[in-house]
Amino acid sequence: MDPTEDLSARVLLKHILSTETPRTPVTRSVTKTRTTTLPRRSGRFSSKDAGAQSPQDILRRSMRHKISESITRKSLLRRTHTPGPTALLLNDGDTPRCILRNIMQTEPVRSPAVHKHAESAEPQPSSANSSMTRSHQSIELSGLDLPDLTIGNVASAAKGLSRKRPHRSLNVTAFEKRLRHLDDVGEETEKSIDDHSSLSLSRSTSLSLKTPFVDVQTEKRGLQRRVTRLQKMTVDEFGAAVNKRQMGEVSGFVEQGPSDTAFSEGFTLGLSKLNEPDLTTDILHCNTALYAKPDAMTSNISVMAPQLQRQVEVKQRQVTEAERDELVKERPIYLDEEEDVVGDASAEENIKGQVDIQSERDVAMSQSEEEDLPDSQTEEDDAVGPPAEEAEEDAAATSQSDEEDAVGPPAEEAEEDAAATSQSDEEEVDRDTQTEEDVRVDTQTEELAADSQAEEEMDVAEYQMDQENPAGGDFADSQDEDAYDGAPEEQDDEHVSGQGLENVIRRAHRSGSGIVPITESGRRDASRKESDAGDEKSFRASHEDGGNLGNDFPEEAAAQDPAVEEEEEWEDGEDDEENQEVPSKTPAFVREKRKIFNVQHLASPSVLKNIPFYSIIHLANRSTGDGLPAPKPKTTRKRSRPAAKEGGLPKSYLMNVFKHFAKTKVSADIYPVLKETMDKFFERLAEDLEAYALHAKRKTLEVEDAVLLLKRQGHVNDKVPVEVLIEKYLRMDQRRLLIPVATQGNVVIPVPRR
Amino acid sequence: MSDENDETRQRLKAALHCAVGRMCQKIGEDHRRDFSRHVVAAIAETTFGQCDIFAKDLEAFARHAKRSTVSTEDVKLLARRSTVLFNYIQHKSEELNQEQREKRKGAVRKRSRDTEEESRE
Repeated sequence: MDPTEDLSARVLLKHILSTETPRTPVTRSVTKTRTTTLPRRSGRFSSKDAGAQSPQDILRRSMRHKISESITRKSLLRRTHTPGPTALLLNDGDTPRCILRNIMQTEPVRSPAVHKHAESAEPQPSSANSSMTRSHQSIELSGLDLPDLTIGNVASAAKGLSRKRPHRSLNVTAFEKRLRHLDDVGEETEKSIDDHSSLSLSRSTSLSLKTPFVDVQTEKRGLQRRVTRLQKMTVDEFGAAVNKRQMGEVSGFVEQGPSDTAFSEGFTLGLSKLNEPDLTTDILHCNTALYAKPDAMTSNISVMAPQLQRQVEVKQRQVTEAERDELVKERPIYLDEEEDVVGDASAEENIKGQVDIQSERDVAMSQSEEEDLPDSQTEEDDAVGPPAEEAEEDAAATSQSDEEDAVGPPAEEAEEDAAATSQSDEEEVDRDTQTEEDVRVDTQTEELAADSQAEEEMDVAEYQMDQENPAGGDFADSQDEDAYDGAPEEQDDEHVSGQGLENVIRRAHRSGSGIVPITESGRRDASRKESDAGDEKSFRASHEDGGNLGNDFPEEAAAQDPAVEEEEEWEDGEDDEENQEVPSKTPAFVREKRKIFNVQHLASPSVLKNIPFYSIIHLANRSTGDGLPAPKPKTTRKRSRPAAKEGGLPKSYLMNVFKHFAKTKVSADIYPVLKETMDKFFERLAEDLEAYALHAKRKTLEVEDAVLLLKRQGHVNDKVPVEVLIEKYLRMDQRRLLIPVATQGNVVIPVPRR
Repeated sequence: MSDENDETRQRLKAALHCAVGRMCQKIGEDHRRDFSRHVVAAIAETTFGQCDIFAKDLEAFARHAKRSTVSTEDVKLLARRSTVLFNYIQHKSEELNQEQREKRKGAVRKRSRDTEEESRE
């Protein structure tokens, strides 16, 4: 390189010397700029930053400049044109970035001029400043010919480099705009033709060099868009929900009546396999619409459902950061997971927040989509309808119990088998948590079944009535903390809602009988997974249930054993928490945990049979717990209402998960066997969990019970600790509940117990 | 250490195999059927593995109940799956408890009698 360059450089140098004596400042600056502007070329240039350079060096650099970026040359040229170019060169041109900056600031790109200059400048070698510049020009211009090509190469190379960044185009345009802005001052330099083309190219290249500057902005913009949407949604919705709630629950409730139905429909639609794409797309597209028109069935509903859910969730949850956070988490979760997950997450949250609402909503809303959706919806509805009360736990318990009662009776009538299975499940579980879960499942399933096909109008009307009534009743009950107190009120409400539910349920049965079982199974699956992450409290369970149901169901199918019991636990816990979440200010998951702890196991399975799920959950919700006698009357009524199978998961859901894990073609004939197996599995799971809790002389299912179950099932052993499973299958928010995380300030989250 | 453990394991397996063989022989006589060697070996291996699992489960159960000693409760929990076995175990445990109570009562009565006698004396 050097010798060859030297030769040519020598020739040029001699020529230059012959014309003019080189001026050190210029040369220095030139050399410096040259050296600096040619970072790519080689270290030689950089090393030669020292002042006076030999002519050979200068020539070398000039030659290299030709080949190298035209930008530097142009910058040099420009600088020579501009006043005090040397100064600029000396001061600013030390680094390529400075040079580029100067270039950007000086001239816009004018390609035609460049060519002309290039052509004209070629024959003029000169040594003075002008001459130097000229020589530069000549060299550069002549080099421009090359650089034109090289520029293209460079630009292409730069582009190639910058292509990594998708928003490069934006950068260029923005950048050029800025340049033009600045160019007003430096239009003089713009006349330097050479620079134009090179400028543009250089700009591109300079952009590449300075990409961080612009790219960051664009990146931020891109990132911010998404984030802001989510946050805005949550915050706005939350605010709107709170306001609405405060304004008028009933009115809001009424408003949501149709929307609720839409919810249910949407949820069912979203959850169902067929409708999943609609839901997802709807969710993706629609972000702001609070209420979907009842007419808009599928798409609107599906869209509405998640949004309404969110809204409801927002409303339900009182202004607590934890709640908000949860919402935020869930919403992103919704968006991410959409289909099942969306429903699940929302459902879980909702469930936690408002048991009361659930009952009501479930009736109206619950469209058989998966459990999660109905749960969430019901919760939301409940939340929306009844005013946020701080006695959420009680209210939730009562409401849930009411719902379950209401659901129970119709369900019994409609689906004896389901009820039997559910009851049997209850028996096995025996514990409040389980019963709660079952009850919730049943109620949810019932609601789902009912809603899925129930007419919106009927549901809405009844729902509204039910919601209003139960809302009042629930709150009263919750406050009294007496099942009896709430029971009569709830019963009344339930009757009304129950009737509606019955109709709905029956319709739903015909249409979506499978949905109910699936939801339950889904819940169970979710719980199963949760069992894997046994540490998670009900909160996580609920989330997991939702999430697991949606996403993890396939996994669960594979790992049915561990999760079933836990699922039930979680579901119950979730319900409790959700119910509690609305009024109370403690985080949902904390409440769930409490619920789980507080869940009281019923002594005898027979008692469980008689007691509807709601009552069990009601009992569970109450920390004091003993409401066995109270729920009985409610149970009968509720059971008669919902026709949904109490023990079954939706068929489509079961088959879908099974097929996912089978990885082969699966005939539809297996469904009955599969369902039976799954039911047994869940039953055993619940029994085991209950036995473990009893073994520890406790009446509440605990995380350790679930962990023990996992160990027994072989999912957790010496090689695989529970934490691994947790990390593998659970979402971050769920994991955070189970695995303590140390944060700044010696704070461990969650607060370690005992 | 590992060698010792292995040796112990082998001895245990051998003892188990022997016991299983005797039991199979006895049952075979009752039903007039013989057990092939493979069957006996299979049963012995299975039993050994199952015992290992039982032990781990029992330990887990005891720890779950926050105890450091395995109790009959743990065993009952272990056997709940199999109804027959569970009933059998329950029955047996009840018998054991009764015997223990009687023994205690007997001991108490003896002590009381001794005290009375002493007092009299």
